[in-house]
Amino acid sequence: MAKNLQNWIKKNLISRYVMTDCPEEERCLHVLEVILDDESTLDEEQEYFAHIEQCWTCYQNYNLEKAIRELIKTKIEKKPVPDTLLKSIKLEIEKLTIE
Amino acid sequence: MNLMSEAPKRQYSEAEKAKVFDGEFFPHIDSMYNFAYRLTFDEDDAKDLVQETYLKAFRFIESFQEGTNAKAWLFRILKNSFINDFRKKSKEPAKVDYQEVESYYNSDDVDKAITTDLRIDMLKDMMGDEVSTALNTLDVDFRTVIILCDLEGFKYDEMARILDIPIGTVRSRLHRARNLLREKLRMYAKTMGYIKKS
Repeated sequence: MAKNLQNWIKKNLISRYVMTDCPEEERCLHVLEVILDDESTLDEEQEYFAHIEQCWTCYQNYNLEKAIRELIKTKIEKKPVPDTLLKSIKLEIEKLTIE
Repeated sequence: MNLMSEAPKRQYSEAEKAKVFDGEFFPHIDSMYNFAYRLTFDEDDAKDLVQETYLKAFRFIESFQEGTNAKAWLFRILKNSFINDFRKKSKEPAKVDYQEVESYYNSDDVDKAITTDLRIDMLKDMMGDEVSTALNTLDVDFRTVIILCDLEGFKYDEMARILDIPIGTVRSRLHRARNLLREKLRMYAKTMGYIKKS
């Protein structure tokens, strides 16, 4: 990244955050996971989103983690089920029924 | 066979069995096949595993309570079948040069490390194959929790039942798995030249 762009980001974006290093980054990452997994409490969510308004590191982690989840969901190819599979399972079940 | 042995039994007529299979079990064949494939990395083994799962579901259907989560019940059978019958013969994915990652995995740092030089713009250029390989090269226990949670959308309590582990273990395993996956994605970004080699 060009140095002047880095400086611009620092001046205009990062500077509005009170914290650029998070003393509780590991704990925040755990909470972030629970939030993205839709398993968090309302209190956890409120506390976390208030925190990332202030913390540049956790704001970045939030966006990165969300992007990774999206990447997994969208880029991993689903394999089509072979046409014959359902038919052969039904046949095998029929055999068991006759037995 | 100790399949759902703790569940109360329920008797099904032949017509009821057919209804449960058509209405609740067969609609999950797509997810089950994909789960089986990502465990075995072999199309024929995946087919056998799914077929075996459905046959076991038929034999032990008395343990299934209608109205409960059929998908989770089937996934639990599939996972147990994989461990008991398929794990030994399943193929390992092609190994990339991940020695660095493996030593990281074996260290205590795995819970603490945070990848600071992986950025969103790097992820956007990654291909499906690269993401799949990163997932596939995770140890099967770590791969499984990511598949169940991120691809299949199971909740922690459902995963705990599928895997026969406490919810706390589900959470810690997921956390480790995601740290490892992030590290593997970072390795890709490095090989693609997005991150300077140190």
